[in-house]
Amino acid sequence: MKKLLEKLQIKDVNIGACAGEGQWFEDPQGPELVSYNPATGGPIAKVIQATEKTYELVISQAAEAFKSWRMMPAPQRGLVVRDVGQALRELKEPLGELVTLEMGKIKAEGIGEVQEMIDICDFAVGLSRQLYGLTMHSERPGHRMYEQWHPLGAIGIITAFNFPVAVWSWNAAIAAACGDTIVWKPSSSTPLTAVAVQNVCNRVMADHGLKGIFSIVIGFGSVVGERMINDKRLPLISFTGSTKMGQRVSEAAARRFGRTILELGGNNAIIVAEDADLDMAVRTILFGAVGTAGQRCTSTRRVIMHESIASDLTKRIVQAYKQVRLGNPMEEGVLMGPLVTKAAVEDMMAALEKVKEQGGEIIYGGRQLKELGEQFVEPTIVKMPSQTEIVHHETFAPILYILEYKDVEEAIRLHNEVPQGLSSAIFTTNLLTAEKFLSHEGSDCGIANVNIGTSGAEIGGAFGGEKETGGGRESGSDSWKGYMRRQTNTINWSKKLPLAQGIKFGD
Amino acid sequence: MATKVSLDTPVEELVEHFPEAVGFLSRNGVRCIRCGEPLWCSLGELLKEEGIENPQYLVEELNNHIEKKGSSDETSK
Repeated sequence: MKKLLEKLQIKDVNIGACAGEGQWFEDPQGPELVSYNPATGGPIAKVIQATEKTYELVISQAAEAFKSWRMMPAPQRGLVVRDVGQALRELKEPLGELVTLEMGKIKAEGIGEVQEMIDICDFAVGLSRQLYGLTMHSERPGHRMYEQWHPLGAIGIITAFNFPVAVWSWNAAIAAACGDTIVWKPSSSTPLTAVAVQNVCNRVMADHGLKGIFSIVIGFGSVVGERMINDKRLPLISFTGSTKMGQRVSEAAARRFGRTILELGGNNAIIVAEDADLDMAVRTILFGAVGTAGQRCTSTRRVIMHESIASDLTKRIVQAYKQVRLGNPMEEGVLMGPLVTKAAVEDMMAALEKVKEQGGEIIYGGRQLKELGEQFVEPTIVKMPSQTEIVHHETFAPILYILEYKDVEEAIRLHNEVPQGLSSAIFTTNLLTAEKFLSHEGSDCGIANVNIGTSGAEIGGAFGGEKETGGGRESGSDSWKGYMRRQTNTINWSKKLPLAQGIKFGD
Repeated sequence: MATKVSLDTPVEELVEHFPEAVGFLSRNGVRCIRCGEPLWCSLGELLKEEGIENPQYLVEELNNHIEKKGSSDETSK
């Protein structure tokens, strides 16, 4: 572990506020945060958290840096982001391992997460030459109308533990190409990955003679987070977390007319039709429900299966679950590691009690596995008689609810009945069923897939969801527009002054 | 029994030092206090938002639960 931490410049005690190379701000009053390995319960390293004083120093630097960063041509900013991507490439394996060490996802997923960071940097490089605005034909003679996109400012990014670095990069790489500076508050469960990423950014920025572009403030939400969401110097807050927290962030930002990008809860379902390829469906369900120990925003939480195949499909899923090797996520062959905290285990067990109260039958798993460690649980399959209250609720744990349907209308009704609307999928070989699912009367989610699961999104698409998922979009497609301000321009190149709508005024 | 948790306890501290509180609160209708990021408010604010009628009583029950579960400050940082 020591060597791994050294490669990433993680010390025994790290500082939690930084605005660039040589710009680490330590306040002796800052409370200490210990990062624990969820697989063993052992401490990894410590961070001295940001305080009100050090937060101010970071924000001031980020706001000041914006003034010059916004004036650098976007393609040049893209080249800086390219270098960040290259530096991440060089540290892909150790950074991925640190993700695994700190939050418990298996090593393949940890390294995959860093690959996602690299991918989005590549995307941002190309994007830096494509921040296009439209041109409109003016109704007035001798006039030209167009719109352009300007950088927004210093922006706040608040991320959760489950994707401790990828979600930051979805936001940060795009925002940087767009000309914004970035202040990041990572999850208190994964502070060290944030320090490691800050070290990477610091080196690259120093090579370019820059500071204040990428910053971190690691600290209590009630200290640092609250300041961020209420801070007028941050015109945009991108927040990933629970619906409840999203409401708090949204209300605070709205009070000051700040913008938000919210990526909140999901309650993602796969519909499996009677004509589906069940082999593919089983593999997908397993990855979606068990991957990252069910702690992805896009984890598959419900399978809505046609009654004619329910018995067979359920048996196959149970059989697949039996093959899942649990254990230390750093070990090859392990498919599921621990939950992130003891509180997460408590949450899961309480949800399973509710499941039983509401008529659910645990057909696989359901136990804590203390023999592996305090934070290990069995991936769990629950057969529900109907979509009860607990199924409407997102439990951030590997619980998979099985429901049955008679016709596709019922499947879509069940699918859309929950308050969240992030990711969805259908397995079918019937074109009409697939198209219905994707149509206006089909899935109400931000992501809807056919013959592919709910999780494992690529960076090229816009990522986000509807309803209580918050409506925000991050990563690819035209999500970049959320990080810029649109300006509509009209230029009169004539010698006259015609008014729009043909209005005559004092002529 | 010494009071471990009060209405003023920040939810972040509660989740960190007394993880068993998460299950207790969930069983009493206060869910999702730690998904992604623990809530940034105090326990009192949370219970008010959730419409808990007698928050002080629930906190007392929570302290009893923590006592029974054998949590101690040794688990705290």
